[in-house]
Amino acid sequence: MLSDSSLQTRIVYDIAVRYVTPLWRIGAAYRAACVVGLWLLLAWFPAGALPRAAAQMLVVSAGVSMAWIQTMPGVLDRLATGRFAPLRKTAGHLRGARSKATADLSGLLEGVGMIVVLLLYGGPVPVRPLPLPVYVIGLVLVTAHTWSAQAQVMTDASWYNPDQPPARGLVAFRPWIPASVAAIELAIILSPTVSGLQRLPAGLIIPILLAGSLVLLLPFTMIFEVLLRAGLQACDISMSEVRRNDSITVHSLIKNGAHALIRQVQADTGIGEETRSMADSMLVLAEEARQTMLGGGPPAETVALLWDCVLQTVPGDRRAGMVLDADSRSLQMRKTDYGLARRVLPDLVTNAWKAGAQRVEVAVRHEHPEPGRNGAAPRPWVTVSVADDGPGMPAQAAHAGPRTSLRILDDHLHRYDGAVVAEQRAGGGTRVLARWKSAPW
Amino acid sequence: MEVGPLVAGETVRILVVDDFVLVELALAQVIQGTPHTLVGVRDPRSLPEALAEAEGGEPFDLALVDINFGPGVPTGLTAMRILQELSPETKIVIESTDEERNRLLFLLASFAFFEPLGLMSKASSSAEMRTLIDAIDRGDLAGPGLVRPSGTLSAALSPVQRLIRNVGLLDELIRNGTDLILWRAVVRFDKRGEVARASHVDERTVDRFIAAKSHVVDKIQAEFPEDASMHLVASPEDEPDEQRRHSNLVRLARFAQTHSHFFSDEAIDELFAARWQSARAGGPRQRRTWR
Repeated sequence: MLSDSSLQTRIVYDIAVRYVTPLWRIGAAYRAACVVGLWLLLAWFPAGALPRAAAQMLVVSAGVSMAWIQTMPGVLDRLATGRFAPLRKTAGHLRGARSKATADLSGLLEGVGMIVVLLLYGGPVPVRPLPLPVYVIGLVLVTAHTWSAQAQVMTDASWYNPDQPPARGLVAFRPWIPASVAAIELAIILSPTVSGLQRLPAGLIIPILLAGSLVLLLPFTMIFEVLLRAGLQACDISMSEVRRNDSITVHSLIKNGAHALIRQVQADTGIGEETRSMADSMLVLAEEARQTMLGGGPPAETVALLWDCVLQTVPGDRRAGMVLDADSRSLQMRKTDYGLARRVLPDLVTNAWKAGAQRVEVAVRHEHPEPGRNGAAPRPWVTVSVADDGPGMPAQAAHAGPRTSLRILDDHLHRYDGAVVAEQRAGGGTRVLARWKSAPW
Repeated sequence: MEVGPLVAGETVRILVVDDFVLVELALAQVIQGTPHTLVGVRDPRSLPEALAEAEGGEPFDLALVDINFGPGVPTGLTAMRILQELSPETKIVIESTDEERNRLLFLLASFAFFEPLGLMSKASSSAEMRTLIDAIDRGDLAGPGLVRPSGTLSAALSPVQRLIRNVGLLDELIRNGTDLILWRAVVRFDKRGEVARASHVDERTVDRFIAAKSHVVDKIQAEFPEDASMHLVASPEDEPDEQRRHSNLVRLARFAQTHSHFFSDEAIDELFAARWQSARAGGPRQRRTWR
């Protein structure tokens, strides 16, 4: 149905603003042609009715002229700077009202004016006698004009403006606009029959069909919105394609560059552990950037995302042995905790597989201490556990030398009351536990 | 307002506002062995909490503030506004990567609305970072990346001085709320009628906007020629009016697209609104003069 808020998006509004300008121009020309046709029909009106008929044509003629001028900014500009104050005011109004969900003067004059014109052909005191073709053509032209004007109303860009959405009342009334307009036209056309003044010259079928056709504006608008939705989906698909291509570029440029850097760093024995770690982290960051591009925005900073990125630092043939426990995957972290985990986890995993471990089991947890005496909940601890089946390492490895990777991590975590502890596992292998107090921000 | 020096040799309480925790860890290494302390905040929205919970209730002496925190997160302008409101004693140094092409307007706005002591490149070496902190510790604003007191200028202006000298360009770029709406429309549309429709103004307003802002973009281009985003060729003078107007609009659209992050930053609505209100009330401009 109409008024679907899913269409009030930036893309749909941008599409609407782009189609409105040419459609307004075409619509104004089309309606002007209808009004010219209605003027020409006056040639077949009885001579006595001509002054009245001409007077009744004036309002809609003024409205259509204004609508046409509205599509010509140059003319509007000249009028707005002209000497004649009422013209200046009118031009100012037409310029200001053009892009808002509101009735402007040209719209009002066209709407009311066409009802006044219709009163020449129907209503309580229609012009009679009229040749049947003039009567039918007159009704066709009135309906054609109304179709154009209402189609413009129904598909105006302002319905889709996400920044200044239309008033709720207008949105609720929108699906009823076609039926209301059809009812007004039908009531006027049929009123001679109802009031019993005279028979309709063309029977009932033609006016009913013409007025009833206005109800089709509703399915017309619905089809229009189907097209808008299709455009939106096409945009989304194109965006996804662009993102995929960009992610391939990231992979090709950054990851290949990072791999080259890592190879170089590994070959250079004079390079410190912090630098090696930084080089490795380039792959993690590149993967995160790639995922951000693919998702169209920053992904939720979950352990699952981090793990997918960390796996990029592990050679393909070793990844099968790297396991993140299921409960950790959905754990969402605060930004600082995520950043620290991003610093810690690749190092611990790299140490494990480089030490010859075939299986590395990783778990990340939030541990919530008991509330303090004042009832306030203390900040939780974040623990990152990396257990492997490698040859094992001394328990004091974290404090072995000032520039070992574990010692550096230990230093970093001290900032957050944390530490890195390594222990031998009972069945062989090592378990390294990195722990820190969750950062409050 | 005059900037008083921190007492040399005393503890400098440093706040790092940066979404990248490695920046904080790197700085922690830089100040290792000094009495200085360091707290990191990843998101400007966390600043009120961080300032409230600051150790001992003492304000931070120095805040290093990043500009860009990623999509959907307030920018450094919000961080500086919060710092200015909640911790006016804290001196601000902006940190930014030199490669950020869209940073120029953020930097101009930072110096227009706030009182940063300087600009530190994220590419700075540990020694340069240490020098900057030491300089601020001494209250010496003449170091690299810092505001240099008048009277001691060398022939060439430093990047910070150039920014300060040109903050007025930002006022020319955005003179009122309509300008802001138009800039946001120009990010998405490059046809006169569409810009007018999307920003609910008439075409003549768009014309005036194009004429005035093209002139400002020219000035920015002349003042900051090294900025890659500025390489927009002005339309020739002998072009027919309508064609020149369209060329200039396309040029403005490219400029706006480059700086779309700045124009879409909600912080600038508040900052400019306060500035215009202050100007209407005849109050002083927010930016102070440096001694």
